[in-house]
Amino acid sequence: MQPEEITPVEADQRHRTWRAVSIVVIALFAVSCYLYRVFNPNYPVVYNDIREHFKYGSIGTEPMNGVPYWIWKVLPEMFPEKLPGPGPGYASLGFLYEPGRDLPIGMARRRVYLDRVGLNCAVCHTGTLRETPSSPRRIILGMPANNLDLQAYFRFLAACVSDGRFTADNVLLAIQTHTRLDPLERLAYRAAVWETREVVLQRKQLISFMDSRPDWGPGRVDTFNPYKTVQFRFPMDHDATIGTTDLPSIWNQKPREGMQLHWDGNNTSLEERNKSAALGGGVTPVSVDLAAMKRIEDWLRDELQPPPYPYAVDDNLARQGEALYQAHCASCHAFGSAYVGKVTPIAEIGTDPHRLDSFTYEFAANMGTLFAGYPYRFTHFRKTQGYANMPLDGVWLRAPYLHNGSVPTLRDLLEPPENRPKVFYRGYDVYDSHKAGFVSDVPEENGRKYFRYDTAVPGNGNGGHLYGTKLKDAEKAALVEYMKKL
Amino acid sequence: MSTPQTRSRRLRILLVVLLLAAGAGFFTWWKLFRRVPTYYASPEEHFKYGSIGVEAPAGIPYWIWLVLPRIFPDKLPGPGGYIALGASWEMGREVPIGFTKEIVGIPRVGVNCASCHTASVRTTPADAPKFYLGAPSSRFQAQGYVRFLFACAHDPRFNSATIMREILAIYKMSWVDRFLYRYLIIPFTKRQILQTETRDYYWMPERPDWGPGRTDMNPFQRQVMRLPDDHTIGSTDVMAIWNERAHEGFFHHSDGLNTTLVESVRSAALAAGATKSSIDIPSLDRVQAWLMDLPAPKYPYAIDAALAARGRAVFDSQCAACHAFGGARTGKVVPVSEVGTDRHRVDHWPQSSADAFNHWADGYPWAFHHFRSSNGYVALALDGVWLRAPYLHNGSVPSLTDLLEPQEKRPKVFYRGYDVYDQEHAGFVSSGAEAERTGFRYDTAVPGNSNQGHLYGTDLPAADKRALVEYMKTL
Amino acid sequence: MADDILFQPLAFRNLTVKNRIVRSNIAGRFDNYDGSGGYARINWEEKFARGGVGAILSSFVPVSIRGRIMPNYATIHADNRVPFWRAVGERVHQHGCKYILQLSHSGRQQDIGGVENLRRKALSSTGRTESQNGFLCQAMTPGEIRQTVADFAQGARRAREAGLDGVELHGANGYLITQFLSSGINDRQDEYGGPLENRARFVLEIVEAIRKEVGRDFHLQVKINGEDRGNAVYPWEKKGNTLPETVQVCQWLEQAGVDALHVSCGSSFPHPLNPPGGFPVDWAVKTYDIMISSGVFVFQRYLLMRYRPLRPLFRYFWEHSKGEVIEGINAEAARAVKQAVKIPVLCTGGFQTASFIRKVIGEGCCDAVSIARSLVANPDLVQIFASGRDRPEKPCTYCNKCLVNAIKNPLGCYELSRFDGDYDRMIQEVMSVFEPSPFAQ
Repeated sequence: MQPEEITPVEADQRHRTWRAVSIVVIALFAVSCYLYRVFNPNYPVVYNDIREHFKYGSIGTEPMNGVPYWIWKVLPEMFPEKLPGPGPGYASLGFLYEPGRDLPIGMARRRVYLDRVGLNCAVCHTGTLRETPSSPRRIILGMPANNLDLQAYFRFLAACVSDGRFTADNVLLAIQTHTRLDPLERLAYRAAVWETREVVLQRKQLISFMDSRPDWGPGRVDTFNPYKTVQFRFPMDHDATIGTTDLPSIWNQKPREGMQLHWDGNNTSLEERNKSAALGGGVTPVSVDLAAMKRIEDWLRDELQPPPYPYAVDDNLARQGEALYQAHCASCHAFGSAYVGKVTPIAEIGTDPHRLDSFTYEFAANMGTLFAGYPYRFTHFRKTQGYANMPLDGVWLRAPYLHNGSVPTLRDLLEPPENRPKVFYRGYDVYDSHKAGFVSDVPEENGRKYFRYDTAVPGNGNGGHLYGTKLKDAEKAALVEYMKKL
Repeated sequence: MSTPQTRSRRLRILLVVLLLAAGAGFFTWWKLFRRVPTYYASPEEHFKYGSIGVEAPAGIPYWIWLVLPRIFPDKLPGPGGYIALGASWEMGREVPIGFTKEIVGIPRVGVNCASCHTASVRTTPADAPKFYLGAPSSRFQAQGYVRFLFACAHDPRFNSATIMREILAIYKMSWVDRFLYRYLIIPFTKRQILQTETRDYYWMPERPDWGPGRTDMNPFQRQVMRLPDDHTIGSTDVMAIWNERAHEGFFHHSDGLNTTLVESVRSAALAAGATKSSIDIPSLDRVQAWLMDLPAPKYPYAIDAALAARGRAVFDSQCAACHAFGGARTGKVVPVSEVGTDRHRVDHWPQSSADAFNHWADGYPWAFHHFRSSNGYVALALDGVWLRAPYLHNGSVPSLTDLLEPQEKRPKVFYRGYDVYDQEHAGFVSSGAEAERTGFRYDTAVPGNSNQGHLYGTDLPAADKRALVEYMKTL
Repeated sequence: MADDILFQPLAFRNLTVKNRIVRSNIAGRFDNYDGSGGYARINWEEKFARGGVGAILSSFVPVSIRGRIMPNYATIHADNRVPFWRAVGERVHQHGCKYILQLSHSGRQQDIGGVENLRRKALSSTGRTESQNGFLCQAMTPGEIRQTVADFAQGARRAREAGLDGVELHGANGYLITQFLSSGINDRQDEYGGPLENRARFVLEIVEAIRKEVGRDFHLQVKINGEDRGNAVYPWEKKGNTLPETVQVCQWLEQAGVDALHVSCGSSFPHPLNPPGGFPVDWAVKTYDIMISSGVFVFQRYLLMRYRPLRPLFRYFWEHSKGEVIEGINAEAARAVKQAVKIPVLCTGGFQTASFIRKVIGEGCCDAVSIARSLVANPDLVQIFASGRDRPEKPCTYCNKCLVNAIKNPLGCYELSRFDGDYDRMIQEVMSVFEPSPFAQ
């Protein structure tokens, strides 16, 4: 059959049809591009400088556990009475604001249909230091967050969304004082208010068992117990364990490779330890931003070092202390020593056992299902029977001491338990260079209340680790002087 | 009228249709039926995690299996996911020992020999358990596992939306797999579980619960052979399967219903869920070969050597004839009238079942020929007996010490499934708060659970009993 | 009656017409497909001659096949057409009526091209697609222009050979000559486009060629738009020529030796103002479909008529620039032309009332009026006027149903109300054009 030649009209009409189809396709594409630009599903705010990235970059906590940016912004304005003290805003929970910055350190921004904010590593691993109450605050990356009360933050969010005033209308009204949202965004924010309530309340419900345990206070966290319900939905009716620990420093990771990490030494893999911490911060196996994490991990492993002790050190005294350190501490705490990074059995170390007991075998075995389906599925979690011996780099900044942060200063740690402070205050960041630790007898400053740490509370015991407690006072002073230089 | 032109056109269309059908068929096979046998270089790993052919007919799709404990924690007896059902989960592993993850189209989880034949032992409650391969399971609730699956499938939350939400929260599944899971795999799995309950396990509710570490011959007769329900009770303690070379020629199963190891291994795989077409004979042969020389584990705690030496004399005089390798009656059936223990298990396996099973697989190279019925229980060799508690064929006596007491002094009620070892009595701790909370209340008054009989040694002086127990720890 | 201006003879340079009523250009698809003449056309023209009009202006007569508006329209593109036209002329002359043949070329405004034109685009001054129906076209080359000018001259020669009384150039209503004249259509960059004198070059060359071919003593008149009103349908289109421009062209035509002018309007056909009146959409959906393959916009436009919810859109475009005036709609334009030239001027547009016609002629708007639709309704209109009646008993309603039927059905009056609702009687009347038939006994 010979193909019929088409008439000019038909040719023109075909041409027009194609043009119409192309125009429709291009228009759809353009509309998609517009919507994509407005609601670009997933991109983080990127920082080229690694320190900025550590402080403000996203590791992927926002998609599942983030809070829409504007909601997060207006909560302290809508519910100032739910914050524990004088602000401004989230600063009262111990979040650290740098001048000129919209978000505090540790809070990252990422577009997930809407801009959302979520936690990153820096929130728990950035602290501050003052020489005197009137000195400027120095922000130090990688040190334990000594201000942040993470539990209070979660409780604040839960209290806000549970409040009857947390409605789409009120939230939009509050947002209006900051910015004009376009109509599409307003609609999205209405849904976001509902979604935020659901997400926060679900999380609150999952970790409600934490309410029957002692408060963390600033600088402390129960890392693993929340996983039991958040990740595995374990029934908690027979689990009364307390897993609250002091936040650790995270600098200088390279020499820690292969050590038993976490306070109880339950994992020997840096990567798993890091990913596990990220899960705690709110990433999921699906939402985790591995590339962003890798930047931080590489930096923590290869570059970030503890800051040198900034105050005067008596070198003669320190020299005497070094000998004592070698004799009494080094075998467990010096890099390269026989027992560093290994677990000392609980019976021997004698410190508070709650944290150890909270990491049960059942839990450890189930940790092997995290990141299932991915090549980096957790394979290194183990139940141990003691606490791990930590290297002491930058130990002067890691106060209070022991895994539960129960001893405020190095000098106190060298006292037998009965002489260690029974009650002290955490969260104050003025340094006590005599005892090596933060000043711990200040209950309040400018209206801001610090956390009263009672060693009699379960999980807060300051017993054990009796090494060096029998030294003479002069020797102890020398040892402390030396340890400032670590 | 068909011209050559239209004929070739039809041919071309036919060809295209055939190609499309072949493509669809290949896709279906690839995504749902393609079996990629798991292979572990080490036979020990293979025993723990290798497939015996259960996944295709009875496997649970991996992602569903993984999230079920998270969706239905209320249907588990405690925290720990499948560990709450007694699974022996090595830390760092993806599935517990005795569970297999094998690709049959998609990854599916089945069970193998090790689920029932691995013991979990702790020295103190705070310890992580140590696992002993080939030992009778101390904790695993085979019945609890299937009941958990049944309960999940009955629950309205067992639906595609709920399950997919849970899966997608932890795994970025491909769009094709999402579609298959949502519309095919999840509904089909639910139907399959419910069907298994009504077709294969309909008899279970009227029987006494097995509890951890026990199983039943009923699945054999109802699920595998489809014999009508005779309402008999077949509960038995799981047996040790190590050191089989030394056991060659002995009767197998507690009542000695078979005389060959190979048939015992293969028939057990069928009861675990393998079918005639899916059973993996080479895999089972590999397991069997490994079991031949798997040593019985040594008692891991201190032994009073002097006391044990004295106990040896008592053993030789009192027990060896029936229970020592080389003993006259060792590995042979002792009539129930003579041993006096609970007879339910003997009555449970009539000759008719044996005959039926001997013809059940006719035509297959692995057909069965050696099943029989007996009138009693096998006198077992006692290698590794310290780990085989509780004792007697039905696991009705918690410790060796208790077994040396007359029936009236044996515990009437005790708790199974708590895996802290009781060094004093040689058995697992079977009383106390933790044992009661996490264990299964074993009531010897329940039919099939009687702790009667086997009164040998019960009249020995207390010192001899202690010495005998100490000696038996060395076996 | 002797002093009634309507019945005064009108003397052109080469021709005298017995009264001032002229049948304007109108016909149906009465001929053979190829444009060879049919007997129905002779019947059709005789109907009006018998009715007493002074002259008949033929309908659109293509000077080439490529210039046709639709098949079954008699052409004058070849010498073998002369006998037919002679027969037409003779029949009309029997009634003392003159016959003036309208030499025409569709240009791009080709409603149905026919199989001969199926695979080629129409010729025009421009290559731009026509805006209402989407007729495709290509800009004429100088060679094609020369050929077309010659076609017109040959058409005039054949008309003369056929014994007809004169020719009219169809320079109105959007056909080829308009496409050159109109500033709204002509976008040429050469000597035929741009300023008015360039745009008029084409028609003046035709006049010159005709004069050269037939001499000075053969009646030649030109039909021209008073105003183009090119934006009457789509407001975004260009307006086209204005009245002063038309007047200028008319003066040039007079100088070139044209004997009379015939004033119409609208740079398309049909046009909201020409023929003035209604637009019968219900009929259009029954006939317009025949053009669907002719232009690239016809289908969309057809849908606008076909689906009632869309009709308001169509109506808006068709009616937004239409005024109330129907009868004498071009009278003012004709007056302007008449004031500028010495040759007689004819005016068309809805005339149906004797007193009104007397008035426009009397006021010097024109020398005679041309009537089409009112004569289709009442072919004996002149006799009605002669009998002293000012208007026929059943006047034309200006419904334009004749217009929309013309592309598909035999031409006639399709206004049912004029037949007291009797459809069969109406069709019988329409079909009367086929009587007598040459093969009937």
